[in-house]
Amino acid sequence: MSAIRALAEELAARSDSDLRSLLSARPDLSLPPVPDFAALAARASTRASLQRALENLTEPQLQVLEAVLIAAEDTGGTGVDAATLGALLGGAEHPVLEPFLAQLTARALLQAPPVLQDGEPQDGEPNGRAPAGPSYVPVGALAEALGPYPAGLGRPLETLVRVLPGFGGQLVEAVDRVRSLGVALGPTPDPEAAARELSGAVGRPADWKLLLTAAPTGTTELLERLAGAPVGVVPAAARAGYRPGHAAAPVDWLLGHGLLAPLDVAHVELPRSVGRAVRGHRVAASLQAAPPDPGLRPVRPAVRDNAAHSALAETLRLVDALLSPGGPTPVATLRSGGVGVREVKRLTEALQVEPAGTPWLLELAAGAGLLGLDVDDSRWKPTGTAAAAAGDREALWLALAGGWLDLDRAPAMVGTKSPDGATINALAAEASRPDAPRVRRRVLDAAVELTAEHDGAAAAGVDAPSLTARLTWHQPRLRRRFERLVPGILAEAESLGLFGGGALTPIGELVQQDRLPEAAAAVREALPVPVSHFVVQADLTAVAPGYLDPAVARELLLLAAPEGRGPATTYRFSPASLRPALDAGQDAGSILAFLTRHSATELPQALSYLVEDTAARYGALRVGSAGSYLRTEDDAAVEALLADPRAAALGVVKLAPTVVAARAGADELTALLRDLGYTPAPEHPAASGGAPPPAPAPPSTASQAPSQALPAGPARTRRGPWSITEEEIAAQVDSLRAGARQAPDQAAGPECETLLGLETLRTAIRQRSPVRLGTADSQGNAVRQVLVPLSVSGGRVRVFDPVRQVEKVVSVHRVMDVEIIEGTSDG
Amino acid sequence: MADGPLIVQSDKTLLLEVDHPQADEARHAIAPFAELERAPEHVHSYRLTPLGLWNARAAGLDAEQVLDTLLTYSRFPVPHSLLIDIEDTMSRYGRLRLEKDTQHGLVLRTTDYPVLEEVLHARKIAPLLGPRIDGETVVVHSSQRGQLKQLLLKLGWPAEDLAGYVDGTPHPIALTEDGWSLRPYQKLAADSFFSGGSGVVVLPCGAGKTIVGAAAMATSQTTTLILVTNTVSARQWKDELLKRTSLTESDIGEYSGALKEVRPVTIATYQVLTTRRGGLYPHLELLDNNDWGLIVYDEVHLLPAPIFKMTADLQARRRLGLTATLVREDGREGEVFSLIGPKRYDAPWKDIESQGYIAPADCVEVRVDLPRDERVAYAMAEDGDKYRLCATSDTKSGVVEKLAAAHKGEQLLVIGQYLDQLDDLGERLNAPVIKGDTSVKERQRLFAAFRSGEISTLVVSKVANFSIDLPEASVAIQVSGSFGSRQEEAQRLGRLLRPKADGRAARFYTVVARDTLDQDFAAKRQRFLAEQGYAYRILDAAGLAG
Repeated sequence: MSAIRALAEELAARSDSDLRSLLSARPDLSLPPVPDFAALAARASTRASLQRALENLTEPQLQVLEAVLIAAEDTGGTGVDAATLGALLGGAEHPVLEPFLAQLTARALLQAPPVLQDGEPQDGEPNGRAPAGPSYVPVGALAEALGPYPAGLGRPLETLVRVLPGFGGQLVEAVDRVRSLGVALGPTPDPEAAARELSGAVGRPADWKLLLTAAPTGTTELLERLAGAPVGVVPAAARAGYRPGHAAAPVDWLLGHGLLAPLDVAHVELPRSVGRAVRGHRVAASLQAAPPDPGLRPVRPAVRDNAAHSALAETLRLVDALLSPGGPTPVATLRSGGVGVREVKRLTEALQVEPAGTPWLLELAAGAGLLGLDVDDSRWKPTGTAAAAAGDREALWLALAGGWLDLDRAPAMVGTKSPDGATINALAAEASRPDAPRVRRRVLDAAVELTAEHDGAAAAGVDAPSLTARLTWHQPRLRRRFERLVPGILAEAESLGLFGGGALTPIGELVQQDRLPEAAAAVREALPVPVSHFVVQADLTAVAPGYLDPAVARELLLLAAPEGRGPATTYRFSPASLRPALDAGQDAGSILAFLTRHSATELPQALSYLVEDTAARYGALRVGSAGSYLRTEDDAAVEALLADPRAAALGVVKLAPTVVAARAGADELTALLRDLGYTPAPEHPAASGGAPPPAPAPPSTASQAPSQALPAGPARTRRGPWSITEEEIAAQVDSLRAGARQAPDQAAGPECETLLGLETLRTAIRQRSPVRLGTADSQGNAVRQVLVPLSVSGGRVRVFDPVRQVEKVVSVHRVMDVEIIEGTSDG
Repeated sequence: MADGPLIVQSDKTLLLEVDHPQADEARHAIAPFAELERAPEHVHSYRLTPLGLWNARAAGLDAEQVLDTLLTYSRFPVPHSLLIDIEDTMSRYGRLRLEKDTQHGLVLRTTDYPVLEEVLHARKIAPLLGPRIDGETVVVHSSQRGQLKQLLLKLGWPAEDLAGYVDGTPHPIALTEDGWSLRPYQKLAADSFFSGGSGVVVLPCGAGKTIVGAAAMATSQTTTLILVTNTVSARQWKDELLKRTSLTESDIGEYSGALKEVRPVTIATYQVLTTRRGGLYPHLELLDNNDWGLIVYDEVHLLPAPIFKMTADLQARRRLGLTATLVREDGREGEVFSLIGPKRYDAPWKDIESQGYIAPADCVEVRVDLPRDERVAYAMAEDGDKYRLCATSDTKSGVVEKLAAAHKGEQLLVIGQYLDQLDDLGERLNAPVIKGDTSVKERQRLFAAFRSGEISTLVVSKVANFSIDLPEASVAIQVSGSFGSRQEEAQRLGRLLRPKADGRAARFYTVVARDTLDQDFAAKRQRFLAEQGYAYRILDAAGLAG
């Protein structure tokens, strides 16, 4: 019977609560809902779903699962009992293993009790032991989902003989050499037998010892290196080849005795049986039932808070500087996407930050929706949200922290090389990591977990290695992802004040508990109170001793240029720095009044002199724009013009007793003067007939809110794309039960047909039996052939045509049906 | 950290609010490791530099104490990266030590094996080293001691020099404290220097650096070589030593362009030592052929580059550097650190002023309007002539006369750059002019007359910038300068800062032509003086009483 059918039956037999726990542990099984148990079983056996389930296994769960898979391959697909598993996992006791086996069964990754197939002859147990307790088999495509190197062990010799051309012949010779060392081996007429006999010998401790004693020195070290990662780089150039009777290097000796398989010119692989022997005839030295001890260093709370508070104040200051109206925005993008190096450099100089800090600030502000991409001119501009949060540090932090938690990008990847060798730019698509929000969430969870375990008055310093180790214990399949993302995430969290000096802060804890508003309140507590005064000095500087009230700061920025970076800002006055204020219509009196009002000390004479001197000399030349002008010797005419009510509409202003300028064009002014009874002459012949010179364009409204280019949040948040509610689970269980009542024993639906076909193919591959394969050719004609399938992977089946004696490849999607040919298999 | 006087910025500056009740305490706490950069009236700013931190390590401070000081006095949280950076930087000093080994002579020893490896693999350093003794020790060619220290500093691994000094030829020297006594800070400076071995003492102009030198000589009791900037300065050292110590005329020799005397205490000018003839330094033997027990460098911040080179070979002798500032216009602070030694004493300038040892100063900038024709001439002049044109305007002379009249009866100094202008002023004010071609004898005569009050007004060119002593000059008028150099400004002000008998404030006028380059330079000068904490006012020439 098919394994999928068996799984379907087993699922149907589960209680409702067991089903519920399965669906909540593997939510993708009912997203979207499945019609019946057969479909559920089929979906549970797909590679994608299995991989998702594997990602959520803890280290011990994965160890047990991998051990079951390896042991099951030993026994040719029959069940594995707990005692066998215990021996493979460093002697783990039954009570220790039991819960893990139960969890794996509950998640439909293992099946128990074993589903013995009809009439299958039971080969004797390899160790001659009777099965104790229930025995477990892995579900369908698990081997494929776990990859070719489960538990970090290489492929079995039997497989290697099949897939490596030429290795079979070498192995037969190698086995003869092994035999000559005194190892008792059965007859080895063909490569398969050689592989079987050699595997058996390696698996027997006494024979293994005999082999090792014959090996040259250095062999054990080499084997131990390869035991963790089975594929090693040994260039063919470094292999001298094994010549009996001559001293051989360890690599050559191992190759010559079939204990190492040459993959290609550069790589070798340690066969599974050898790897297990090196590990002490086990799969793993021990079962990692509990997470490893992180060995955290203590961090004084004062140090932690000092670091966190200074970092978050600095981040807020910089984001504020980035978004402020006089700041360096908008930010131009490259045609290829993202913000270019030159633009980043410009921002770095404007903000006076460490070069690495600029991309992070951009990513952070964009992620929080404070910077938005204006699609019209492809530039990033402050959004309405930014304007709303300006000056309110609590609101700003809230926006930043919330945005960061949901940010589906890895800002730390900016500046690194992408696989194609190009450097990744800030805000470019290459830094997108859809899994980042989940990893971020896990980092916070793990930090809380580690901090809680740490006892003592000091806080726990949770650095990237300890966090990665803990996260990897929880989800070993995601190790690479954690290693790549965690250091960056930690640095980002530090700059938001969630960590300080390497320890989780109270703010970080609140964020982990999703209590963002409370965290923001804690941030407000931590930030120094804004000051509204500054100290003015004779070197023409004003120093704000702390965070200057935004309203005061805005006004001061019109007068003086800021310098330095840190909690306090120094503003330097110069004739040039005073100009914006004078342009804005201020005069010496109002400037000095403002300075006196906010200065904590008496204004130095040198500064008053500078302000008065600059203001007095400002405007010696005056510039304006006008559409037309009138000059005359007759000031009465000017007065008459100004007295007319229509003059105001034309924007007429008197510049001097005999000179008037108007906003309106010369034609309109001429018409009005004619109406008043004068005969004005055009000053330029062109001015009378032609169109008036174009009126000055209205000042561009730089504050126009750019369109909000950021998409609305998806219904399932980025933090948990596979989250599922209790109601959805209940509805799914109900519909499954209803479907089961209607068609109790029908495995139907396209979803499971393909899988059934694939499963049959896999069975045939395992049994090396020919199949009758129905395929559709490129013209759509049905073709039926008798073929021997060799392997299935990546949507392709490699088959051997016994009639034409050739190998070929068939796409899985062309396969219509598969039938194992009777008599050669038990189907 | 509720309300400290210190604000630690992430750009490695420290802002100290001087009106804060804890300000003094904090100032003393940070002085050993932070360099005072600006000291305007309310908020002083200090800078943390690797050299400053290493100076602190040399003075026995560790990173823990520095961090603790920052955290104690800081008003706001201190950037964590800064703390880590400080710890890193400070831990680099002293991992390599130069020591005297009884068997192998001079050796470089480390407590940190990889550092030694790094150093041994540096291409420039390898040739300076001899055979390796063990994992942690390597022999150093003793002639390369100075160069090695220089290169190690460049690599970022400053070595602690514990190899000691040769004794030098003994010579009895004692202070004769009749009618005067060593001020407390001078004694402290001399003691700190001597216990540290070699190094630099930083004291403001007028605080009595010569006496610190004399005190060091009295402690050393050996033959001494004193290197000074010029001949006038050499004579002053000689006079001062005769007055303050038991040394007699026959003990002190002058080694300058004019005289070549080598005596137990020899005063040489930088210039004569750096004279080259045929690619060689003919006077180098003065350094090499005598067994000096102490070498004193006056005005270290002006030390010419060849002297550094010679100093590199003098590492076995005690070296004392005297200066008003560690800031060098050419940025060679690192060489001072590695070759002369770390800072051994630094008196906060304000402290000395408040103790009454130096006079407060009042700086006034007087702006004159150029007449129309001069403005046009200025506008049309070549760039190279512009400064001269505006600096030597005739209108300035009128202003100087007015100012001189206003300060009638006070000791007045007029300082300028351009000789024509100075001659003209000399005539108008009826005062003698001292310039480059005035003989040393004549200069000394005029200075003596000025000192005694015989002459009340003196016009001087830039020859007077360095190391002359005009105790009673209470008013200075600067009419032109060499493009706003910070050094020059400090020196000129130094002329005035010697304490006045009646405790009056010194007055320092600068006459500036409005809307010209002169004013741009004046802006720089203003910033510098205000940053030094001097009161600074600006007046219009038209507003002067007349």
